[in-house]
Amino acid sequence: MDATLTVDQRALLDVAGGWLDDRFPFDGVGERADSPVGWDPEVWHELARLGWLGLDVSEDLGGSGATLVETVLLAELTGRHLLPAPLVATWSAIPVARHDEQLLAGILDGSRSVVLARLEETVADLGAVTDVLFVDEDTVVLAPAEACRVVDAPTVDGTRTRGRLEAAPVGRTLSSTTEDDLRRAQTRRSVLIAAESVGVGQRCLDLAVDHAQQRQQFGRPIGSYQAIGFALADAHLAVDRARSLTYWAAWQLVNGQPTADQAATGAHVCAVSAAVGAAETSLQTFGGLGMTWDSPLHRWYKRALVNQLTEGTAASRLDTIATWLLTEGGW
Amino acid sequence: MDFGDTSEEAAFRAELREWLSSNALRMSTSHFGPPDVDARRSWSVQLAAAGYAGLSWPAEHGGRGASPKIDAIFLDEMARARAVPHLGVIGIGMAGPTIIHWGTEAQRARYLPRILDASEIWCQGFSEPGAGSDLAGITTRAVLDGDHWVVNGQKVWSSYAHLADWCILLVRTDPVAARHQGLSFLLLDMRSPGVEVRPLPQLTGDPEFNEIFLTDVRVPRTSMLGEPGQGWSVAMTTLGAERGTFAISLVASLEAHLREVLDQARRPRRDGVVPAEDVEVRRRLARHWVDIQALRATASRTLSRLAATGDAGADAPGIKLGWSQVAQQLTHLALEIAGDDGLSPTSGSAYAKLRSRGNSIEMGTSEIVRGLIAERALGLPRSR
Repeated sequence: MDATLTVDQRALLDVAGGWLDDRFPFDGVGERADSPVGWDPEVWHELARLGWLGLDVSEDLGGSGATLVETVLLAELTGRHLLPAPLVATWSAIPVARHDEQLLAGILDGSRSVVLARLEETVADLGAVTDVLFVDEDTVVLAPAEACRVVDAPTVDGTRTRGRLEAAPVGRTLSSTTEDDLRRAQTRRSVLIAAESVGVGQRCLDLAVDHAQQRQQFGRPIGSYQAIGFALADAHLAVDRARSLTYWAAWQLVNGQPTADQAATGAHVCAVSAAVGAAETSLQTFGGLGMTWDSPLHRWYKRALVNQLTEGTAASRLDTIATWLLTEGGW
Repeated sequence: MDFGDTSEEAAFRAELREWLSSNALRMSTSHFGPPDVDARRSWSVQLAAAGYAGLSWPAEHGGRGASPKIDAIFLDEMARARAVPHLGVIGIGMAGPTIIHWGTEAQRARYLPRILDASEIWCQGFSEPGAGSDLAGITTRAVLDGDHWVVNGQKVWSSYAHLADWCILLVRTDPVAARHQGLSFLLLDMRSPGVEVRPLPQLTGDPEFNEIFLTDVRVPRTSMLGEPGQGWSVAMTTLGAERGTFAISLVASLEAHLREVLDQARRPRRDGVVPAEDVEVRRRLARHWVDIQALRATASRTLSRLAATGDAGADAPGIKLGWSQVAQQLTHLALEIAGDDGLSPTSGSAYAKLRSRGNSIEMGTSEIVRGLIAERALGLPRSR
């Protein structure tokens, strides 16, 4: 066992983090979230050139041949920077999208992006992608986004669009798609949302720790008070545990471990609540300053809430885990 | 990033698991108290004979020179099998590594072999009635008189003291020096005149630890580890010896406990209710599983960091805090699952619940741990 990051993984994080800092500076997060377009489609071409879009697509299919672990590391960074692009949607859909050669090639060259959607289901990034993989029970239909009747269903999070399919779109049926591909797409989404949430929670904590070091009250930095320091310590440990579980789940999926699906489901439960907890602890640390529109903190808080409350419920995930746990020989 | 065993680690784990399945002395879950001392002693001898005592000790001192990862696998599998720990846990995990680090050749030769084969049992004399979390505040005095230190004072919360032959004893030798500089570290023969051990029953009724009263106890000068005044540094070696590996055994014991609670939830109670059919019980069990797996993954990262850099990192104490939180929630859930019979005086669930309140106090209180995380992991200003 060596669960530390490899040299390559650290290099990936350094390069990607540097690019994100330049391309999506922290100071501009409010402007980006409040812009009517939501995201700049040119970003997608840049991400393709950086090799992000096909990071864990095998090399013989034109990807970079890395694994879901590396994609998870990037997803954590996208949460940290609230990167406005349908990355999680597209990354999640790859097990299904690979059944259409042109679609996969389009994703890899940055001309196409995609999301899985069912009828009447509210779906993040539905308004941001070029293509929709419409799922009707076991059948998957690939349709261009402009041919889909989508109703906008925005949330308080201005950095990510959301919509609903009003009618079954007409398109090409991907007959080779299996139930397992759909299940894998769902599991990937769980782990990627978990990773993104870890990044969201970490950013909130970093802001709050910085504030607690600077802000003076009663003649001392407020971080010297245990009421502040202990709450931040708890939030920090919760986010770091969620990070561990998310990395572990990704590793299990890559290595076909028997508890991989449950680990992914658990990582989602753990990370979305850790992110909301970290954001709320951070808001409390900032006091009135954090309650203003001008403070950037609420941008991350809103993403944390959206991830916690609009990606299926914790209760149903826990029920799934419980059924497995309570089956003799399950765990 | 690789969370799996290497082939060497997997082979060690498989061999150990196999050996434990036919040999282990297992903890009792149905009644109060630890198994009897004779059974534990012979189990400890068996562990040593099979080469499973002091794995991480260097080979020249009777260990296997095993990496922290192999040591962690040993602790993991022991907890998984619900095996009773070696009677010399304090000797193997604390006294031994400290003697290896600070001891003279004569001290190493005298003490180390008898720790491994359980022929001598060790206890720890650090905490005092007036010095718990603030360990540097101890007042037990040692005054030099010829070739001996004469010790007076009182120690408390000392597990195994009623069985122990030796004690690692932290004393104040210089009352004038700054708090941390006036301390020294002695190896105390528990049979010396003036040593009195009194069992101190816990709220569970179990006499798990003891008070040690020291009245004009004469300790030879040759029984000091390090120099006079180095006691704090020596004690930090003792307390740091298991950091990183011990976390895995905490996590594994939670997993073993959760498996027991799952079994308990599946069985119909006397009133016919099957607790596992209750949706709230199911979700809480699932949430505990998630939290325990998050702790395991965190312990794996910490252990990997320790193995790679020699430093477990500033977050390492957080696993102990997380363990105590889950343990306390899980023992409470087990009690709810047990229903009306749960609080009977002989109930294992009641014992576990009561005992678990100590989890957030022993080995560094939750408050001390949060302070460490705030200060060292987050870089916040000191809070006291």
